[in-house]
Amino acid sequence: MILAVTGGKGGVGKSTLSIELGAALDATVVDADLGMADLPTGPGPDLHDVLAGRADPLEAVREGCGPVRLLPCGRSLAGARAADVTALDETLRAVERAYGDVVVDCPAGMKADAGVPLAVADACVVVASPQSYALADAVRSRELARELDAGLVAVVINRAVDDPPERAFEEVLGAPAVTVPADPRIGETIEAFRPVVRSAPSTRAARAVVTVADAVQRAKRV
Amino acid sequence: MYQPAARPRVQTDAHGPPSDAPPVRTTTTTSRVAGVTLVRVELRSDLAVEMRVRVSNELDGPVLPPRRAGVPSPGWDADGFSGTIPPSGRLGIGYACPAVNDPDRSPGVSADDLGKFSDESPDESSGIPSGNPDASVVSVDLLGPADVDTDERDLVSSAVRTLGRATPPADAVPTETAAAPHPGRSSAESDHDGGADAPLPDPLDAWLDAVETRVEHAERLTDASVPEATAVLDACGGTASVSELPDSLAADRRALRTVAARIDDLAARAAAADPDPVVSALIEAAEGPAVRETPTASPSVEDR
Repeated sequence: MILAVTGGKGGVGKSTLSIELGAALDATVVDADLGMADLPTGPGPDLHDVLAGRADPLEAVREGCGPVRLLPCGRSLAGARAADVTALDETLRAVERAYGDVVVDCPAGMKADAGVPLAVADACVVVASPQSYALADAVRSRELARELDAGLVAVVINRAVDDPPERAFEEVLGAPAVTVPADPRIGETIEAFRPVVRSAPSTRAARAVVTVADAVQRAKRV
Repeated sequence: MYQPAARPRVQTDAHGPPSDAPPVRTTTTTSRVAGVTLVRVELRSDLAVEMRVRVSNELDGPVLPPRRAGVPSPGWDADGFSGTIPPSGRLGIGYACPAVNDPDRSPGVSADDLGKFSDESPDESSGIPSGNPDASVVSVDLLGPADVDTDERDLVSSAVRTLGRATPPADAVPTETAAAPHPGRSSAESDHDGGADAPLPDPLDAWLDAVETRVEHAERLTDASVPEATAVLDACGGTASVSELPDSLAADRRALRTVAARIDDLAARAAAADPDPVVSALIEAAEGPAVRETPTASPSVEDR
């Protein structure tokens, strides 16, 4: 299954949740943010090289370098220019064939680089922040996903401090809402490359991520 | 502009088609704009079912399909268009092709034809002769009734088409190669050469001035009215010099091309040659070691 982690706005926690879900589902995380990648990278070919036809998808997958298998994305403007986003289709399917489930960290915005992962994905998770204005962004992402045929598995209300309006999100978006409470440890998931579902599985944040992962597993069986 | 627009039953034919008319009629028109042939194809179907149709380009050139965000519109490929005609409806498509629609063309384009295309003779307004020359521009194949299928690939292309690519613009940051006026020559070198400000040798300058004068006269005489032509005649000093103008212009054109080729060649060789290290080594050897270039405590003494 190819799962897209999306959400119209930047900074709501798509990349963090991608790593967490990748760890919870034992999936391969693909950083599809071609313009502003933020998942850890390192020496070797990356998604820019793959989409420019310079590398095979599988040789760009980092295995055993961290808690999750990761296909990182390059940081350079030249790489972003050379990358052909339509090649993402075949790339994601090749990774899925070789490694099983794929979690795609989508970029913010409404351009083709955000749309193509949704067009390829079997399902998606929309990440929103708990503020009321975030609902509009979540609705737009949901509409885009609907048009591109990616079923919405769950809405993640990320970094919630007080009780967020879960019901409002559920009613408007038509999918179960899961609240991930604010937790400094989950804020360090990317920086330390250490997902809380592994390092602190008993925390409320980790349990919320596992709830989302379970919903994804159920959607997969259907 | 030439979006394939399927208009379901916009009109019904008042007279009805003759009984021996084909079920799908094709109207093809071409026009020549800015060096490309624009081909418009209208397909009208009298059948009660949606029909799949294949329109193939028969011109001697690649198909340039309509695009959105750089992605060809649905149905287009390298050789033509595949799509469906709505029942008893019309389908209009259009594309561009860099080839000329030559009614007498034979399969396999000859070298002469190629030369003619590149020469860009300004007429070629394609005076449409009798017997529609556009009829053989495309070939249309009916492939049978349509069935519904959508594939994944289309979803990706349509996402790019409708949303637009998010690629960074190509010229956001000037690169070394983009900044340099000539490939293979760095910007520092071209500064050194002086570029357009360097003075030309006198004989070359005089010759170029003379050519420029002739070209200016020729330009003013191009499509000139009587008063304009008279003014040029006065400036040239009589019909005698004007009568030679076409010939001398042709000679000038040949000479300019030859000179341009030679200058390019020499400029490339000048850029590639680097005698500096060897020359300075030779001078050093001639003047004795370590006389020049010794670092001194007060470099300001040296007069530059």
